[in-house]
Amino acid sequence: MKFLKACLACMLVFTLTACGQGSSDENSDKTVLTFWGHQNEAWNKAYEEMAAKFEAENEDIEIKFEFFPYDQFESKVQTSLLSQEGGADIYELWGGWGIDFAPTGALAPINDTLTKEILDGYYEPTYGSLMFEEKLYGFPLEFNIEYGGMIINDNILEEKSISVPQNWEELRTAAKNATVKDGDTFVTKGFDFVNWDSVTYMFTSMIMSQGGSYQNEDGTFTFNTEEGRKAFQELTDMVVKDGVTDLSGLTGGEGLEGYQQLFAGTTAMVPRGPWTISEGELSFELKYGEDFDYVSLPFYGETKSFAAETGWSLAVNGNSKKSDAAMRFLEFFAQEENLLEFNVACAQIPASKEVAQDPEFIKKMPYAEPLVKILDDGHFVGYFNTDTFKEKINEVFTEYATGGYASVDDALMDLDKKLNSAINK
Amino acid sequence: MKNKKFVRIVLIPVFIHMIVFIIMPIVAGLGMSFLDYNPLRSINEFIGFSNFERLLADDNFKIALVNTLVFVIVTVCINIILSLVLAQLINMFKSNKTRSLFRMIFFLPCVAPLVASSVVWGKSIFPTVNGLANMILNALGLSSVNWIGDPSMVMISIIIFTIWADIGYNVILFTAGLDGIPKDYYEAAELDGANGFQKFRYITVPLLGRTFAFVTLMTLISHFQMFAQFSVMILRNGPANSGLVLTSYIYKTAFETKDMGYASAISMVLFIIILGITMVQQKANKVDWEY
Repeated sequence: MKFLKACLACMLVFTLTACGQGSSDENSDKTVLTFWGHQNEAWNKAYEEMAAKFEAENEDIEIKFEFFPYDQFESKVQTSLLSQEGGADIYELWGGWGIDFAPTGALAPINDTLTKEILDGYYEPTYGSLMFEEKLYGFPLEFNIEYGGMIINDNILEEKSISVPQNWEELRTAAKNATVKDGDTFVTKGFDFVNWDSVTYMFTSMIMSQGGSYQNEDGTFTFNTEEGRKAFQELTDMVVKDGVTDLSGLTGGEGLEGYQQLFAGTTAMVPRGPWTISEGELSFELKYGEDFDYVSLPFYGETKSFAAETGWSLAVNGNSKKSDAAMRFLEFFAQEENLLEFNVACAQIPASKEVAQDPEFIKKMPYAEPLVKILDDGHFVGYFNTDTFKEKINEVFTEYATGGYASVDDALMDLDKKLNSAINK
Repeated sequence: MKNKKFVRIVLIPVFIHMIVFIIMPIVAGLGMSFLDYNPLRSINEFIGFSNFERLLADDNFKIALVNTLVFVIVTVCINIILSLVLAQLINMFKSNKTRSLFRMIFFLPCVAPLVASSVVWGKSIFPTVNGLANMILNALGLSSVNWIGDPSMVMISIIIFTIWADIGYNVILFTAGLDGIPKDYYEAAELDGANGFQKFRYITVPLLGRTFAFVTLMTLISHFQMFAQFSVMILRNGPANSGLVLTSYIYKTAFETKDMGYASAISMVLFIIILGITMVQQKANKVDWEY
């Protein structure tokens, strides 16, 4: 019994000692900042290089990184921020999460100097979701652009003598001409825009480029407008009448995503961000500029206008005792030469206007040119949960394309109803 | 007396574990189901039975409930019948080595994590183009099937995968049960002129009662809780929510829309269904003979 008691006492002491361990920097002169990000080889390397540069200039601060697989990362960030204990000092934060976390006090507001710099010199869609009650709760790193550029398979277009489409009509014709079918099965999809992000961003952009809008001043949605009906019908016709793609990007059934099918040689054109380029080069061993290219996606209407949501940003934990040091790291990031270096290393479209318009940026990332040209035409998609937004649009689009609604009016009326009850409940 | 003390000390950690990780979450979940609970809010209002009333008008919940019941009933029935037949066939081999080899072959899929197997099946076996399943069909002169993109095929595909992934465990349990039945009964039956099917029908099945009850109960419970294949193998609950089950609906409601109060109400329904089935099943499977 004595032995058992001794064992229990040892375990208790051990447990209490383990629980009571403070952060490792307590006995050192350095302030150690923890940084949480998601796993991405190129990005992680770029963060570490930036930290090394920062530490060389700030010898009293050390940054320790922890990178998690993406699917675990979101829940880890959520759990740590909501518990308001532990977690990291600095988070790599998807801008859209700002809508959830900023009102809870889990994030520290960005200081006034940096806020002013961002509001004056960064594109609005990159920080819209990081704002709450006129304060900014994150530092935007990139412009997540879902409309304006597309990858094209040069070999398919060349074989069919199709030139790069310069306007919407040419796009539709090129898509039809590039499509090849064997019975009901696609040999080549002409223009595969059916995926989780693209349907929504093509639809909203097509409305905006006609001079229309989809959200009212009170925050409610109205897609059932003349512009909305025209755009929705056009998108549906491309699937149902032209048959340039199918709904598998939303319903499943394919082993590869649309842009991967382009790299595999079974799709001619796919609207996706430039982040796909590295996958084409590394995973599919294709040559950019020879096997595939990144070109402008024409606008549907007369006006160049599109909706965009956020991008990756950096945020400081609202409960961190080292928030001043963490903020210094963000300020360091905001210096133009650092941001340029980081955006190029990560193949990101810059959030900062100065960096985007720096000739050095286009020199280093020439494929980003079609997008950089239209960044000023981007508008913040709106302050709401974009996952629900996309889910409802995709749901109605799939149903309308498979004959689930009698008319486009019925489909869009239902979409308005669904969005207004789900997002503005 | 000393022995009792030792037993208590050994059992305390188990009870603490049960209280912290099983009982407390159930109680917390029940409490949460009466709140308009969103972890992002500091104040969460008490709304009584509103979340449960909301279930009655929720089409997605009805779809998820029906899909869950279809999946569980079909998969469990096929699983039990198939694994019992396979166990009986394996037991017919005289050599222990041959029996072990077959048991190992059927058990192999159980060793692989369900998530990993789901990825392999979703990306390599079920895709319409270049998927192994369609390659085999095409080689036999049959046309391709849209296994996980066609609403009418999604559940069938998931059932096929689940049976493949899960059957080995039950085969092992049934072979162990069969090994425990004394050979004397079979010898006596042979003397009476019983054929193979009669021996199986009148000796094996009744004497396997306890194993049968255990296997059925555990398979039922685990199948109600299946999540990985619905989450990984199909795209966002499948076309027209054809692959939406209660577990995936709970996850979506709790972690994507962060409506945790409502998600807890759905969890309570799932909990009650499993509890009810377990109780009925326990009563119905009281056996006199057990191996």
